[in-house]
Amino acid sequence: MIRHFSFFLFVVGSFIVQAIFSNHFQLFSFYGSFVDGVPFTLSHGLVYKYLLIWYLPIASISFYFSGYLEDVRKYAIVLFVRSYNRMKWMLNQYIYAFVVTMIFIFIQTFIMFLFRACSENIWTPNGIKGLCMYLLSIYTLICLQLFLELYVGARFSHLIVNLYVILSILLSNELHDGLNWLHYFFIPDHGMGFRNGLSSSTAFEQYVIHFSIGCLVLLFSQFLLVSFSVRKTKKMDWL
Amino acid sequence: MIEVRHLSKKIKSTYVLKDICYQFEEGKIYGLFGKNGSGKTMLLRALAGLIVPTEGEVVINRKVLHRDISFPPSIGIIIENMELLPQYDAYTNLYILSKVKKVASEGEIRKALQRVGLDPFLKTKVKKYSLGMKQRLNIAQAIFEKPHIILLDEPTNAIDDEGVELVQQILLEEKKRGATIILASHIKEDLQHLCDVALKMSEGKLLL
Ligand SMILES: Nc1ncnc2c1ncn2[C@@H]1O[C@H](COP(=O)(O)OP(=O)(O)OP(=O)(O)O)[C@@H](O)[C@H]1O
Ligand SMILES: [Mg+2]
Repeated sequence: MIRHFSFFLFVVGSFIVQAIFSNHFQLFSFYGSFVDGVPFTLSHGLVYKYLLIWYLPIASISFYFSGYLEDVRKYAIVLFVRSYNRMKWMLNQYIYAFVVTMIFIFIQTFIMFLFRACSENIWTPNGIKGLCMYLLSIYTLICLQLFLELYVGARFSHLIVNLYVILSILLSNELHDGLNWLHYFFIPDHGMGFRNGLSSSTAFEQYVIHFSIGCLVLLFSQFLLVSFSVRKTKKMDWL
Repeated sequence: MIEVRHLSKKIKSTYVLKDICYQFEEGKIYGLFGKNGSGKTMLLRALAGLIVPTEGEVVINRKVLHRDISFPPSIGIIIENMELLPQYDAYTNLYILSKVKKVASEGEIRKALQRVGLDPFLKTKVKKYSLGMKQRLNIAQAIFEKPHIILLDEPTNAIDDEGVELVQQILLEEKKRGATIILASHIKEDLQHLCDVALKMSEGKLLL
């Protein structure tokens, strides 16, 4: 089911604001502030500036998907009584979410390009990899949000995911030198060029988890979230 | 035939259905009556396979729901929290649904819309329908595939007197066709005289 068009415009608007901010702040970027993300750095002021620019579209995309499952399940009832496979239905929702996320990232890249907020580097093989990691990490967050929606409802799920994003970015910055295993759980980090080793910069500290491992972590998390959701639909009450 | 065996359902530590046993036969109209919150809608959900029983089972033509089959094979339903696609017109909505089972033809879809008193060629989107028009469309949705079981939760809600007569006529026709029809309503007047059996529910129990 399609969401209201104004939701879509809201997300596109957030991309434009991001592009304007990232031009305005004049922070160092290698590919573009959205692919580079937030660097590991001791300067807290810098972290917050990067975070502000990077987080804006994430918040709006997550808002776009918030309540999505609750909306579509009303229609699902008339499909289910026609023996439409529930697991297939749930899988379709995740596939749909992936396609929408991909379209968003595509539009975002286009807007950044239009506003000259990304560099030529993005068209190199590593730049494309960075873009893919960005897409994968956002999609993992959306999967997490949809999954949580099945248990705690749309509002809480939206809140939890957004708090998690902010806290994990700040926390991983503080823990840069210790507790390496914890960094596997920081999903947003895997999608940031500065934090997965794809954006080269001598100004900031090194990555902790290399993007090749990060990619596997993201794919594995997606697999887990989707398969748990699909399995839950079998024993779920459709009230 | 629908057989309900010791059906109970617990939601968050309260039982909303308590040990319900009953057999619904073909070609009859059953009426479920009872106060708000007595469990009418919940029982219909259980019959439709939308909720998983905590205890007991629902058996449809000797097949146990949630074990042998996940949904009744041939069922039409109106229930709370159900919605069609607001961005399409009535015909398109039913047409899209007909693609799932592929048992109803285009002619049958238009016929069903006519039976509930909607213009089968009306191009207005469903989101611009009035409440009563939506409810009429819901009824068309429930019957257009000629299902063996028809579950209607408050079917006359928001429907005017003229419409209620149409609904009564439809119910009798569907009964003649051999369908098992179960209605739930908190008001008795509209449909009770059509029912072959009137069942009363109270606090999740079926009073016989
Ligand atoms: N989504 C839900 N979550 C938890 N409990 C629910 C939910 N829906 C209904 N209940 C509980 O189940 C019980 C039966 O509700 P049900 O909707 O079946 O009543 P009803 O007989 O259909 O009432 P009405 O005439 O108002 O439609 C009620 O006690 C209600 O509190
Ligand atoms: Mg009810």
